[in-house]
Amino acid sequence: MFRRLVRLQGPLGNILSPDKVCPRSHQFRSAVNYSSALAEKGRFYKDVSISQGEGGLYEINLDRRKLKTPGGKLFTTPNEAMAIAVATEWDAQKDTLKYYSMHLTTLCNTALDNPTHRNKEQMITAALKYLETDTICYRVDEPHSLVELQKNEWDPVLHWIENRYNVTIGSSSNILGPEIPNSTKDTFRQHLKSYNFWSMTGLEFVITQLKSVVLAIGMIDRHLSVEQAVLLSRLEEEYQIKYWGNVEWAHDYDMYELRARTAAGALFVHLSSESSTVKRKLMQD
Amino acid sequence: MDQFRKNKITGERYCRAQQEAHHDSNTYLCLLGSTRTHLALHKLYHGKGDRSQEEAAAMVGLRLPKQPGGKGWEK
Repeated sequence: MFRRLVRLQGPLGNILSPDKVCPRSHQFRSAVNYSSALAEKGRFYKDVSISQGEGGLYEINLDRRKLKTPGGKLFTTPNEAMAIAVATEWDAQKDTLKYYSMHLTTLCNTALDNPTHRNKEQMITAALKYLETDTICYRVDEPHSLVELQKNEWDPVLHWIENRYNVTIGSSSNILGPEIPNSTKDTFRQHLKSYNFWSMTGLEFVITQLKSVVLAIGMIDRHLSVEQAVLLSRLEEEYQIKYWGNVEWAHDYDMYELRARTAAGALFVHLSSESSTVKRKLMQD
Repeated sequence: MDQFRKNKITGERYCRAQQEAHHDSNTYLCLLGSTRTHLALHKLYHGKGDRSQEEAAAMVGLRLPKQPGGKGWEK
């Protein structure tokens, strides 16, 4: 039983441990448990491979064992490319497992387990909420060069999305943000509905990371690259960095983390929506 | 790893339009590169952890005493 518990690996690790806790030394024991949960897990497998299981879904194998989600389910991906990417993440781990660097695995786990038990409708509503405080639409009044910078960098993206989707989104510099007409929201809602559950998980993740619906859609529609989208999302920060100087351990650290997460989200969406017509039956939840 | 590199190339052929494939491969490259850079930065700046007792004592020029039997509560 204990060995089975150890085997259930997932990016969140397994905090359970079948200790018989003696009331006298309870405090000492829980200190030990806590530290062992935080201690980094070493890489316990040598080889990573993928295999195709039932229903055409792909599984990941760490040595002889099948990977499972934190929720205990079998870890599956809808297509081979996604499985390869996830397997690469696991294979890239060196001596210790760094779960916070395995973004695709985390996204797959979220899609498979759905720990917050949301359906697609709720995710779309949550995603569209970001539109009202979209980074691109939220302008400053001063300093003047930042206003110019925002106009030059953000306006083209706004124009692009307004043309592409035939909507109106203003920009505003007052604290309440722009007024988004309902027709715009409806258009986007319809568009988002066309994504399947997995893609929607990824898309919502990207929107949350970039703090902007416009930038997320711009990147997913391949109008912007990941680097561009991250740059536009962090426009004010980059402006301040140019003025005041760069702090590598904070600015670069944040930027690379944001890039990694956004890239993972984008890849996740593209890989999930690739064969959507074929896999739709399997992905229904 | 070699097997994975081979498979990675195959994976990208699934994309149809050439521009799509190009964008996707750039995205994947960005993912791999920035994850690696992020981990490197983390190790460089955030990975050190606490100092041990010996190191903390050495900072002010003291040394920890050695007890032959070990301290009472150890082990």
